[in-house]
Amino acid sequence: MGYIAKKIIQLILTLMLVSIITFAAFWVVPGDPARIILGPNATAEQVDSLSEELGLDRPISERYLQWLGSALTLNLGQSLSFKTPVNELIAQKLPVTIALSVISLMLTMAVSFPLAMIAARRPGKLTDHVVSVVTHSFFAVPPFVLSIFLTLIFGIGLKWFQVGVFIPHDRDFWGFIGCMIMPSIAIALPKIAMALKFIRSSILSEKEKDYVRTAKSHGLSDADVMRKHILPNALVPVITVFAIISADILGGSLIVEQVFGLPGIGRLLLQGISSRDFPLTEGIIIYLAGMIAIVYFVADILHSLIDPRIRLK
Amino acid sequence: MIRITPVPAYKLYLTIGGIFSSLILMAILLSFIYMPYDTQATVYAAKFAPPSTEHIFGCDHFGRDVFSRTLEGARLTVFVSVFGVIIAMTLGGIFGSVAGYFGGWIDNIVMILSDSVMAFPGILLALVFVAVYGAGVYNIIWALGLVFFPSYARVFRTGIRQLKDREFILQASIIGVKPIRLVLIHIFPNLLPQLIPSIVIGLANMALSEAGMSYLGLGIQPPYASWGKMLKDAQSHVIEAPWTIIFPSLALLFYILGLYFVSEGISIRFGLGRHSK
Amino acid sequence: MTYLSEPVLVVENLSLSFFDVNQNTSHPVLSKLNFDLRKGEVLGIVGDSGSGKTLTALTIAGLLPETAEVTSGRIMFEGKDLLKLNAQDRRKLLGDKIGMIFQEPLSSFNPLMTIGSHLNEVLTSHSKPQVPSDNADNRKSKIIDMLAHVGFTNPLRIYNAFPHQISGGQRQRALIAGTLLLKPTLLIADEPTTALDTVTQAQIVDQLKRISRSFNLSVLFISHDLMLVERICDRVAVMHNRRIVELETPKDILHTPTHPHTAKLIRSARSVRTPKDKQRIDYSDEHTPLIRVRNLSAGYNDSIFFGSAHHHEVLRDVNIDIYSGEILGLIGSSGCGKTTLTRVLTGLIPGTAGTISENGRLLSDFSNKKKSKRISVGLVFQDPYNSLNPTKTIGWLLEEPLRIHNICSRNERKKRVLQMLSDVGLASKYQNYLPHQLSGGQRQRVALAVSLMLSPSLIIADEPVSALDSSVQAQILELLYKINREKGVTFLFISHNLSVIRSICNRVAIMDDGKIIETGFIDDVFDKPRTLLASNLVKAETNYHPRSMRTIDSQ
Repeated sequence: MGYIAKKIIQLILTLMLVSIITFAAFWVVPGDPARIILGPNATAEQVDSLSEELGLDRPISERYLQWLGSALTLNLGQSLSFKTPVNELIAQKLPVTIALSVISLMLTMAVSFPLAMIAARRPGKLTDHVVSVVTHSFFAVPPFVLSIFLTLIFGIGLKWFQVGVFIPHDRDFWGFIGCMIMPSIAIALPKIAMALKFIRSSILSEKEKDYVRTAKSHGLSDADVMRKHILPNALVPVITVFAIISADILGGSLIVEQVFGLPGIGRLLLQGISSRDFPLTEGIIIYLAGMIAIVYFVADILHSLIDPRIRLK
Repeated sequence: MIRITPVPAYKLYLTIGGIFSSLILMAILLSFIYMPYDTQATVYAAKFAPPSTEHIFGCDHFGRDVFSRTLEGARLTVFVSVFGVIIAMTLGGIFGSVAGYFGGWIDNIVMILSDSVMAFPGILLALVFVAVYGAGVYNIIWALGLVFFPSYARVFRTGIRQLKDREFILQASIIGVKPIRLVLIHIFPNLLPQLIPSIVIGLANMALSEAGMSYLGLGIQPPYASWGKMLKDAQSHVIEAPWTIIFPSLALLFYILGLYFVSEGISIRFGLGRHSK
Repeated sequence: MTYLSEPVLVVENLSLSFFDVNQNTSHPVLSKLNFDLRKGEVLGIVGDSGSGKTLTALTIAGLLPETAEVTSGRIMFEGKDLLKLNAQDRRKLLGDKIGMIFQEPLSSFNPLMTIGSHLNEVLTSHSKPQVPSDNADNRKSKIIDMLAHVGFTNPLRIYNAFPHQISGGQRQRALIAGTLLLKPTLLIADEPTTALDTVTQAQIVDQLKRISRSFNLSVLFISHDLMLVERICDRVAVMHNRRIVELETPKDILHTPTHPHTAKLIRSARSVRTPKDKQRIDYSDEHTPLIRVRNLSAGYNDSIFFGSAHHHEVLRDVNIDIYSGEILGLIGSSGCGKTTLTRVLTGLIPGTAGTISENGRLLSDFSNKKKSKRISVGLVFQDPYNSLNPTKTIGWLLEEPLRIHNICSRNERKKRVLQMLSDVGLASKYQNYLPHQLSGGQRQRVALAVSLMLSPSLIIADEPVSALDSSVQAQILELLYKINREKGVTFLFISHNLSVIRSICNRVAIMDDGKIIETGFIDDVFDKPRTLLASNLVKAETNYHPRSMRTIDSQ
């Protein structure tokens, strides 16, 4: 079986599994889901009517299959609190979260690679130590704490941006991007630290491999050895790390949106959870899960393109 | 060539990390001996009182003593992270050891499951748990334990798989050591260099997640003081009362940074993760 | 003839130190080396691990790690002091005038690049723009020619292959081809055959010698194996404790060693190769063997991830008899199934068909699927660094077999441990040591002791000495032999080194592709091999350990 075919099957399996886990998490719970949604003060009639609305009287497997079937056509049901289809709600908020995540990811890559190469050039020397300690400190800072301090310093103190103002993308695209800068920095800083640490150690471990000695003995310059041999090999494990980072960024953006008051998926999810809007929460989770699974799939494919040992067993 | 660091790097990390995290532990010890104020007592007159000899960290928007609340937050954070790690380690140890030792289809199933769980940001899954079962300290601990256990399962599983085919383990099974003794007595001690840093990192990650969830209002519920919740409340009063934000965030940073540094120090000492001779 | 030619490389008074950043100290690793290498000459450097031979090579090539510092001396190459050249000029010499090949042929190639693009890189990094013929097509045909020259019958396939797709021997030859592309004057070969099996070793060594002659190439050949160096080299330098203690022709070194360490190296090499007087054992057909294996098959299942489980049969219809008190040798190239056979015999994996009996009693019948009993067997592994649990003391490890089988009281256990330590030649203080505090030879003694603790009737020794320095090899073989004689323990001795087999085994079995293809008394098999494989193996071995050694043996 070809590598890509294998990975596609794995992707489908993962998605299936995720859908089962998500569905079970919401509907296979101790007690009556309708009662949980409505809270302890609801009357029996209210619970009954919601049960009927959600079709809770039908067997669980039938409900799962029906839910899966409509989810495949991107129909995630009706939100209980907004009384609108879940996918419409998601479609409204998605651009903010996607933009935030993509900008954060680009920022992470743009900063971590050059810094890692500088740190790895002379391991154990002053620059390496400075870079290591500073990044370790950022590694530990929760994004929402960073967000608060960024708002404090650059928003309230220096007035570089207006706190709590959001410009929708269809009104002013660049203004929209501008709103994303500070939140992206807050998300990216810890991830830069993580990526940097990993890329640095990946480069250093490749540097000690025998093939580097061979390349040098063939008379290649240090720059060529780095560019043609060390970096491509160091990149192989780094791809996986960036897939993990992408997933983390998506998770981090949920909280950071909250600090900066951005109307993204995070806020919608929070609304869903606090109003016990199960169909909405479930829809958002499955959506995010799907996106993350696809990110991992793309990382696997990139992996196989770079590394012939995966491609040609 | 300039040669700095006469001190080995790992000692540096361990010292800094040790100081940071022991500050938090000392704060917790202190809180059992001496708690200056009732953490839930609202004193209107003390609203936004700045740090003074009476309230060394000042007071918040309800006139509650920030120092006392920070101490309580430390207790809760450490409680949640320690028990979260214990749950995650136990589950991870059992699943990981079984998967690693037996291999084959058991291994495949455990790994597909844990891969699927690990693929998602921890906080997202913990939120799902809380969405269904409600917030609160014990639910948070269970949520974090369940969310993080696959990464421990992976540490155990990978370690056991690597060791299982090492000669000294084969040797042990040839002389007739039974599987349970093999895993517990012969294999586990060899996993400690990998396990200890992942336990320490796990504590930090759980504290991070707990703070994030409490910040979102889905973690530890009022009236209990949690650092995340304190920050959330303080955020809107940042101009009038910066102390309400500075002290809880410093406490959070000290705990997490301390643990990260300790874990890094241990990893370097055992030559893991990072490359140094 | 080589003695008259001019020197290509002169090393004078070379000393090297390592700087330890953590302790802020430096310690010497090479002390005052002096030697020269003449045009077309093959100079061997032999020594135990840690003697400084590899560092000598890296110093000449300028590939030292950053923490190393040359503290004195000079290295003259074609009239220039290499140590005084700047980094760029040095780099230009590498690959162009100085080629290098290394021990581990898999990791010597970048796994992401084809062999062809590696070799291309050699040419492009030294490209001379004024030469009009330097274009991609020309380079390719040049490389293909060179690959054919080093003995590839299908050079185009090798050109397009990735490193993991070809064998170790092929990779080593491709590496040699790469170094020869620019027609260097000096080739540094650092343990180039150590990771290869005997037959391939012999091929590579012959190839190197041929190439040295045809290109008039000077070769610095570094090895831990005195006999191998003796075979290929015109002169040999013996290194010991950071110094060159002797530099002579191989003949002089072997006949009249002047330094005690050289004498020791020769002694141990010779004792490995001097056949011991073997025990007389009744191998007649009526005599029941200790272990009788009949029609044994075994193998592995591939991943069962997506249903289709694929069964790989590794052992096919293996028949072998092991007689009580003998040392039976087992040889075969890597991947022939030796390891699988040991796993089945020790009960680590089950067979798929066939029977194993001990002293005539049927123990396992794999075709019957019935629960089989294990034979009482011990196993000694090749790598003493991996075969002892690093977290336990030696005493604990030796006690463990007695402890888990509840054989005797605590005090009795301690007593037996001390007795066993002295049986394998270790002082009683070692019971409190951890494995990493012991040398390779000591660990191998402990490993042997562990497998002896339960007094098994058979001990399988899987390449027990090949990871050790040659002076230690002889001691461990001596110990095995002693235990065989004194305790009557039967050994199945696996090795790829035929002279080791010849020196201590009574009989030998040859394995190929999952089958035992030949069994017999050592001298019968070695002098009149019946199968092609056996004769190839024997030929490679005699090439590898030449006549001059035998004449000494017979003196």
